[in-house]
Amino acid sequence: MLFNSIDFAFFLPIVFLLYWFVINKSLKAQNLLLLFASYFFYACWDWRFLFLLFFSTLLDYYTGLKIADAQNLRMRKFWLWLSISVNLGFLGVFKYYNFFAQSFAEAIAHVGFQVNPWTLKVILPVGISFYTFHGLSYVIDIYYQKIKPEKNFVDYSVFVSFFPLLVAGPIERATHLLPQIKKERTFDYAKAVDGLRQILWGLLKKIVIADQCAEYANLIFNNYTDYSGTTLLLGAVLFAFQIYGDFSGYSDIALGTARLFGIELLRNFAFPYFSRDIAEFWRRWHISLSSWFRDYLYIPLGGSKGGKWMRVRNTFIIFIVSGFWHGANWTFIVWGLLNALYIMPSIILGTNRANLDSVAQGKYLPSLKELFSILTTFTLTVIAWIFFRAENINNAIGFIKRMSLGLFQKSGYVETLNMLYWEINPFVLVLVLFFVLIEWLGREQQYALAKVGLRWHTPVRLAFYYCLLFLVIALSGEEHEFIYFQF
Amino acid sequence: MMSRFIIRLLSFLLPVLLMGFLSELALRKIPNDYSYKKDYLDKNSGNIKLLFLGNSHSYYDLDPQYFSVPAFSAAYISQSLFFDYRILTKYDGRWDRLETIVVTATYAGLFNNLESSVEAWRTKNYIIYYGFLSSNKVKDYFEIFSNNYEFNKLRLKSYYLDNVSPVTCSELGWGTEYKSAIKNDLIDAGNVAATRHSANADVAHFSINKLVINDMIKFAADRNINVVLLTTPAYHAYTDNINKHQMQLTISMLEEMDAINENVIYVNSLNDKDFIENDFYDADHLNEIGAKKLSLKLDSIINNWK
Repeated sequence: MLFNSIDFAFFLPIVFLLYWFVINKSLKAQNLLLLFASYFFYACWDWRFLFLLFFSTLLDYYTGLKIADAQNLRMRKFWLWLSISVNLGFLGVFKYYNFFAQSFAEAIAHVGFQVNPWTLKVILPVGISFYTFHGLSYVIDIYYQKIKPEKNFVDYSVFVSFFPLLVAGPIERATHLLPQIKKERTFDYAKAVDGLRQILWGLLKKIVIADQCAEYANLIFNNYTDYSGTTLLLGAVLFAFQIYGDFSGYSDIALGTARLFGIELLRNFAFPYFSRDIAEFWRRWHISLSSWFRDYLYIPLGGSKGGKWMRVRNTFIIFIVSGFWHGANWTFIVWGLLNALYIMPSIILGTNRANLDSVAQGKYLPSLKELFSILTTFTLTVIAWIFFRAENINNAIGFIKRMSLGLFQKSGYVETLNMLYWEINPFVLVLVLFFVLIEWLGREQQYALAKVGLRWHTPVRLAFYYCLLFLVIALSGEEHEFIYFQF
Repeated sequence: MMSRFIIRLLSFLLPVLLMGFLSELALRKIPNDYSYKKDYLDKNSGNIKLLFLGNSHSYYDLDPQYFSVPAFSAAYISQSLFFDYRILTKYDGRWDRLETIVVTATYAGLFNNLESSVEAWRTKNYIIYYGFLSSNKVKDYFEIFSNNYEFNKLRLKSYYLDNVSPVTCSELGWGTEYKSAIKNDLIDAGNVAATRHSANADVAHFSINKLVINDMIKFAADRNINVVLLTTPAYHAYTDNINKHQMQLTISMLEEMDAINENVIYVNSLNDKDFIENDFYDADHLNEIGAKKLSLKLDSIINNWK
């Protein structure tokens, strides 16, 4: 079930009403309802993979208990590695097996041997990368004695499969989510309204920004050899907005939905396109994944303790692994590698924590220096996104080559202007500008719409919300999947 | 607190819900080919002697007015065999005079189904207008959710403001839009259609559709009704480019059904040389000239068979 589907528009109020009006007296019943609703939500996509989700949950629940009960370090290690290997084994089979088989065959072919790799015709279970990471963080935390194992299987299952975060995150931590699941929840009017507001903003990001930009970004990327440099640049920028609207829109809907049930999820985005350097960008983009890699990979590898070169090595490792996490394709690995290269100067010079606060705090406009830094960071990000979006490395290189060579050709400008005039609905560009403006105004909040308009007169504020709602309804047609479902 | 939240939320959403409700009602009030055919069958199923079922190949290629017995076309664009069977069984007990049903069994139809095709949005018409509850998607039960806002707005404007009726079929259910005055590039259309039909072909659908045809044949046999399985004519640009293996699979299955069942005859007009360029609207559909030719031909085959 997609967040932007009519099915979800029926599903959510039903679960909400049952949760707060019918079984609000019993925490046990509320958690059971959440579990049932989450499994139903997942089954709407493909019920067969419920068994995989259930098995993964059971495995981590059991190994968690075993780690805590183990009498010696050897046994603790055994249960930890059992959980890690089975979890990563599933991920490997479903997500990476074909990639490794084909890459091996290609590598062998280079030295003159021909092998026909045995590939699997498997569907990637939606959300597998996300719930696997939930489970892993849980058992690792138990191993390091940061948390005690959860004894109640229903509560633990809700932690893994809570429907707002099940298929595309945020990647939660047991230390953050489990205590909320175990604690009695009371209805909070202000939080519920805030949740609805965040859902509305998320839907707008997905339907109004991402899906509209996608139409033209797809057109340009799929036929990049037909277009001039400036048009390709336009396509790359549109993709940057598409992926941001798509993924952060999903996260906003997830956070807003969870808040309706009295649960706060980890923040996943913090206005990344207003970052002044790449290090700041990565503190603001897909925060739950970045912090996961920091806590469970970067720090165990030694983090920044072993000196500058250790830090450089570890940074490269986490960016490459992060790229690979996104999918079994060299494009993602190069995307990760490119980001690692971008961030290197600040790692070496020790300036990676120079911009920790929001840009232009308390001001309406950024300084010229800040604006320049934002635009430079955005440009670097857009170039990296080309690898993320392209079908393969050759296409990405071809795209960048054509874009950079044609950037200063006059005929290209004419073509882009023609395209803007004839093919791209100018309304889309107006919407993108409007979106950037609201994001800028709300950049110091949890999400853009959190405070924007709150001080306006009620009729004006209502009119503003109706306008947003109208845009969502008017532009929602075909239900487009979220990009991160494929990861 | 909770009640306050619900009341305020509903008050905020009320105009939107009201608009949605009114739009749904207004859209359902607009007559269309599905509602027309359903109404016709409700009133006249007892008088029909010859019934056409199937997809666009039947809808455009067979004109009931050229048959010597009272005929009606319940076929429609992208109509799957599953819905053909549902229509047939919906009026069970009301086919008082039905003697023959014609089902188009084409390459495109047998390897596809409506729900998984790009035309899946048409499913809602069978739910809303025929009353077949056959989808687990909420949007298939509503007009407003099945098409986008812009398209629904156009439909409302066109019917209520411009007074244009969206019913395009003839009184007897035949598709009137494929006119000979419109000239299409048959070579190009043939390549495109054959590529599309081959690319979307799924053997799993073929097995299911085979079972559905068998059910139809059994349904008909139990009621002394004859079944004509028909493969409609296609232009060479289409037949030259389709998957030969799948075509052979289709033909041999239909021939086998003809051989096994006494109440079945298979008519294969795919490469019928009587149909010339002028008879085609596009590479796999006939225009009104071709439809007349095929209808008269089929009428004579049915009469001779009897």
